[in-house]
Amino acid sequence: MKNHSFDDLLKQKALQHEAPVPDGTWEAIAPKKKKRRFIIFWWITGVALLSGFILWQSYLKDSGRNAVIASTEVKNKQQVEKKNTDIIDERNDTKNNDNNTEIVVNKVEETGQNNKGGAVTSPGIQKESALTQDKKTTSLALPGSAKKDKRSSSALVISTKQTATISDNSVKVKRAGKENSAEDQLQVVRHSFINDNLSPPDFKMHSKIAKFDSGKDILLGTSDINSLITNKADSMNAITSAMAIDAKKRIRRNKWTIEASVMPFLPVQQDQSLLYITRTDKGDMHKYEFKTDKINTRLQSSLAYTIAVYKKINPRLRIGAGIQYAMVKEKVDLIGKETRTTYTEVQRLENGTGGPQLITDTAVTTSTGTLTIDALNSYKFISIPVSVQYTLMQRRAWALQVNGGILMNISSTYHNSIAGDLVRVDNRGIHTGQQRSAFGVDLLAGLRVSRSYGPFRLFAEPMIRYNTRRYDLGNMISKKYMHQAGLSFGISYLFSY
Amino acid sequence: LSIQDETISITTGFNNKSGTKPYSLTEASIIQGCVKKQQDAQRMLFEKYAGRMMSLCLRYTNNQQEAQDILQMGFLKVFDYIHQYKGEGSFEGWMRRVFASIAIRQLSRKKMDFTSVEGANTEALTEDPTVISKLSEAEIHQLIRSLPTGYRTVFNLHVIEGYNHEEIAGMLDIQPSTSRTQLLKARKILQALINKLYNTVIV
Repeated sequence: MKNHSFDDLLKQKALQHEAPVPDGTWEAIAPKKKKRRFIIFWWITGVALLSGFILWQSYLKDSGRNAVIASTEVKNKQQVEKKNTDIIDERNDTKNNDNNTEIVVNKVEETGQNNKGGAVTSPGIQKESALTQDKKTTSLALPGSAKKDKRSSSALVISTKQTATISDNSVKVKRAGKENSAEDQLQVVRHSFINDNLSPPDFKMHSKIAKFDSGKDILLGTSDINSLITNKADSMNAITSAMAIDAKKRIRRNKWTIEASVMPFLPVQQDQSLLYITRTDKGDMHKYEFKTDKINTRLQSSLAYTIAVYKKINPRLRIGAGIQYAMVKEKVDLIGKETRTTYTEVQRLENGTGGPQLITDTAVTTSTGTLTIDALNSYKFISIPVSVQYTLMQRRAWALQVNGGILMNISSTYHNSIAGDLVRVDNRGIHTGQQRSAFGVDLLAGLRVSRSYGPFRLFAEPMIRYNTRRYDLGNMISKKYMHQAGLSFGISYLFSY
Repeated sequence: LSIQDETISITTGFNNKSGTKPYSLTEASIIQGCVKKQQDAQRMLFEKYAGRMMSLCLRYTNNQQEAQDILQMGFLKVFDYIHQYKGEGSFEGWMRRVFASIAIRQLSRKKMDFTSVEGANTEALTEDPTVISKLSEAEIHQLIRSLPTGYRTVFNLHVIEGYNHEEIAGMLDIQPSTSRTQLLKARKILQALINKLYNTVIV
């Protein structure tokens, strides 16, 4: 029979043959990626929702504050209108005499803003004056609550919280249900101004107190104060400039935090399932070949060191970055069969044509046995943490914050103390591994409890680090995900520049 | 894709909860599903070819466990690179080449023996082609598996997979002449074994 016919017949038969497939083969190769995608999806969704919530809260807080200011002013107006109170602005340069009902109302509005909280702006300040009769209303703004308006770099908002009234023959001020004399109240105003914002040498507000007519209720407020000092434009400019500068200084203060921490953590691994590992240790006169029957790796508790800098975005939110170094030790147990081949040079006599000759030869000795390898290997990671801290609660010196972000691995190395060339064989093929893992991003989450001591703050933070990319380093025993759960301790320092 | 529009019927009932009606798809549809990483399509492909590919793996290695490993690796490779199949030639042939390359890579990690086996009766040849026809596929499979590793590998690559001797030499890191010799001896041993099997009378 011709070879080709023979071959074709055999080929035809061989190709038709189907061998039974061992159970579990499909399960071993079925894709298993969906779960991880879902975890990442939910993480990103959670971070997005948290960020949205924080921004929403910030927005509500701002709009709520403005609303309070506006409503307070309206309330004051209504209250005064109801009482039909006359307000007399009696100044040194005014032409009004006793029982004069001519009133000056100064309404100060912030340029380009809708803030009606008795705002004083510098330098773009606008004033509107109007003369009305019989009714006077305005609000008294105490400058102790001066804050920077976020929407304007130079504007200052003075919130309105008090109403001053003067009635009958006595001058009284209603403040939180407690009656004080008008002069006392104005002293409060003056001290607040001076203590918190300014102390110009020529600012003598108490000397500007009007001589109030008896039988008249008077409501004093920012407009009154402004009107009191209107004729001193230079003083006002100096005041507002001083207020703006001082406010800016206070805003800059304590915006940055540097912190150092150490975190004992327990790594949790998700191993690549391996069929076996081979190791070849080859020298000039020996060759050892080892094939495992049993592979066991355990990660040990480790330490991570972090230095980070955070920037204060708002009273509750901080964002920061730093650098982290961590080392993880791995206990490795390998059990398998090793074949040791050694080469020994021997000399022997051999009968040649010219008689016995001394010939150098190589004797090969082969031995096989079970070998157990116990080793302690280590990983070293350098990462850049980027995270957002949100303050959930602030009680005096104590604070509770939630921390979330990412850790970018910029360097990952593996030290394998087992000599020889290791080759991993798993269900997906043979992997020799890379020298260093490619750039990877891990997810980070923590809950921080801290206490402040002056500019310093001590903190403790249980946290987790979720590994999104399997480590595949050179000569690694098995590729693995390495998640971490730990408790971080550290100290932070508040500073500004 | 210019794939032969062969209809595949699978009655195992996966993706078909009732399990009563066969779930039919063309091979082209299955391949396209695999390109899109659809697990159902991958499962169908596995169901269709797993038996034949397992047979291929067992022809390259006598070890059942190693054959299973090669089978798993092969399907994973096929799923990963199925987009590279452009419809030139049969899909099964393309798959066989993938599996054969993996099997050779696995075998190359071991030291294969390409020395001649003495004592084989190379003279006992059968001239009747009907003798082979009468042998079952399983018997032929077993006969091929009974060959020494070197003979079997060259025989598989040349006769079954269709590689020429230069290609085999490159794959196995041997000389082309060695490949020819191995094939010649493998063929003779097989002929002798078939003759012996055919002439054996069970009493």
